[in-house]
Amino acid sequence: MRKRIGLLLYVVGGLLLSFAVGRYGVGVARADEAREAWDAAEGKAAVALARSAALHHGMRETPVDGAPVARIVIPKIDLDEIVLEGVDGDELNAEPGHLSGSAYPGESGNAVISAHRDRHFNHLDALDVGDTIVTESGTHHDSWVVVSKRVVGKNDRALFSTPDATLTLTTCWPIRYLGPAPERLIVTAKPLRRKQTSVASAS
Amino acid sequence: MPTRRLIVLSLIVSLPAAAAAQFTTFIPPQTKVMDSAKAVVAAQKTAQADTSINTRLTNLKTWVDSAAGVVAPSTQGQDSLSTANPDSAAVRSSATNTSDTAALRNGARAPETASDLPLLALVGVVTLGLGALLLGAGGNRRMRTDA
Repeated sequence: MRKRIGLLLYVVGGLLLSFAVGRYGVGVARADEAREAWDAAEGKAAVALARSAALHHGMRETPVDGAPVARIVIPKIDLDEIVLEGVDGDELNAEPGHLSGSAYPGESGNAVISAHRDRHFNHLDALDVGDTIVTESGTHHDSWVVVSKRVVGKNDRALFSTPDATLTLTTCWPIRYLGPAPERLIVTAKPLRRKQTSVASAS
Repeated sequence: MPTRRLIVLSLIVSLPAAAAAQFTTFIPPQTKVMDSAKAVVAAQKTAQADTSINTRLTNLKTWVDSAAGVVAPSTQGQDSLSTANPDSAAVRSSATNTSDTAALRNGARAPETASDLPLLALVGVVTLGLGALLLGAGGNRRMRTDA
């Protein structure tokens, strides 16, 4: 009897571990794909095209979920990742995600980027006011300075559209915690310096 | 008899003429739907090259349809799709994101970023360890019994 229970636990444990490791593996593979796609300028072209369409037709086009839309670099925590469109499980399993409907980094408005606390934003709590963030999105290359860092409840309405360019990074809080997160860490940054290239050269 | 023939003859000639006179001024009623469709097609032809007129066309079509008593279909999605580059599979219309934008404007919750994977991995390791422990204990007991 004890042997049977042991065997059952062994098999179930092995399956759970395999699933978790497999999901991590899929995330890493997708992250590599996203990096390659970004390097191939597909993401830049898509964003530039969307921005061009919005500029010329007064309409807003957004990339499909999972498409690379930006690159984010945070020197203080050694983070250099490609941002994918969408914040669903598949996107966040691979890379930080851009909240659909929010602005893109560098555009007027609030650009919201989220990531898992156990993955890409596992050191987001180390950021302090005054630290810098660099983003690259299509034709925009921006440097940001962190202006606020706060913890809010998971049901608090903490993300608002802003008239000026704002970058908001979110992850679950507490960072080192297992299971559903009761709170969220919100880091807000304002542009420090921006460089814009033409749509034609970007696409 | 000739007088009677003359009257009949004049009736035969004059009656159709009178009837025709009535029907020549008859304009068959056209359906309002057809009118609105024609107006929109005509406006589309003149506005194909001009994006500013193209923008106004949406309002024009809505106005024409509303005047005709037809419920105007939403043209925003079609217009967005028609202006998007079909070569780019990575771009879609943002019509589906309107609610997201509105939610952000009114205050949105931060996305759920708590991953289940660390917990699953931990439970998996613990379960695996327990299983191995029980299997090992069972094996040791059998060895002891055999001895």
